Amino acid sequence: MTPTLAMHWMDSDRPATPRAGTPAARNHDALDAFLRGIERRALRIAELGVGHREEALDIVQDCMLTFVRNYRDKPAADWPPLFHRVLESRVLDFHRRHQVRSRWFGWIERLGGRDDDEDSLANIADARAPQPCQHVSDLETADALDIALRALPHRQRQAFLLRIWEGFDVADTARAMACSEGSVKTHLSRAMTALRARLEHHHG
Amino acid sequence: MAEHDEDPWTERIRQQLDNRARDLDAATLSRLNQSRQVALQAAAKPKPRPWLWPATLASAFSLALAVAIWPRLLPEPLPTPSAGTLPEDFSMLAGTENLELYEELDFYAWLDAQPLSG
Repeated sequence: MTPTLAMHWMDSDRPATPRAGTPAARNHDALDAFLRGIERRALRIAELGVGHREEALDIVQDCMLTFVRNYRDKPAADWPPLFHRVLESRVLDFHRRHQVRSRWFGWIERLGGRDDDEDSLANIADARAPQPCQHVSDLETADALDIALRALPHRQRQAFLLRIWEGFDVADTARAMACSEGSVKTHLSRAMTALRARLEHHHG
Repeated sequence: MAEHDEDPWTERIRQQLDNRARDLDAATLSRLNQSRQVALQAAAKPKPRPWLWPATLASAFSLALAVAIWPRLLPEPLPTPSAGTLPEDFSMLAGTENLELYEELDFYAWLDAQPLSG
């Protein structure tokens, strides 16, 4: 490879970053800071929504890409509810796909037509997954909180996490959840009641 | 939010959630970092312009239509006498009988104006 070609190859492999000091660079830095600040909580919210770390990572990646492509030019103050709107949409898409897959392929598994190559370890029940008869006091407090949150209906969990953890006001929560402010208040109230009942042994 | 901020129960819940997010393992953090870099690279590329496709298609269609219709809009070219018939026409025009016709044109015009009566 000639030096020129090598340099060209190196340039094409390098991440495309805008020139420093330009508006594009400022936007890039602001986006980087925003995504860096929100990514961990987004992952945890997605994980609580779908129940799997790997699925949650894929969802967050897709969410980041969609957010950046569609909303990067919006005012930075609007980014948090818009990001969570995309995240919420991706989590709901996951559940829809899962539902359709179960509807169409569930009968195959029931008839015993399961793939022989399937990893049998995957069928072992997750000890941390919420079980109807499992008592939360058997687990650590953090696990109990995860279990209690996962046991909530999706909309209640979203309202709780956005209002209490993300610190959104009612209007931003309603924007992120694409519902009315009254619905947010109802979902939050029910979520608080359910969580207090489930976690009274752990959180007083 | 104010009513929840003052609640120690929600504060403890928030603390637990923060701890869980803070203590993510290295592999997960690496995946998150990669996802962020991919998204930021996409941000550095020019934004796709959805209106450009219909505009391009409309322009291409208009151009194709113009090319198809243009020859029909041009006026038909006047027929030009073929080179082979020129001598015959010339001899016909120069014939003496035709000259007599042109000299008596006034008579033929009067004859044409007469009413048809038996």
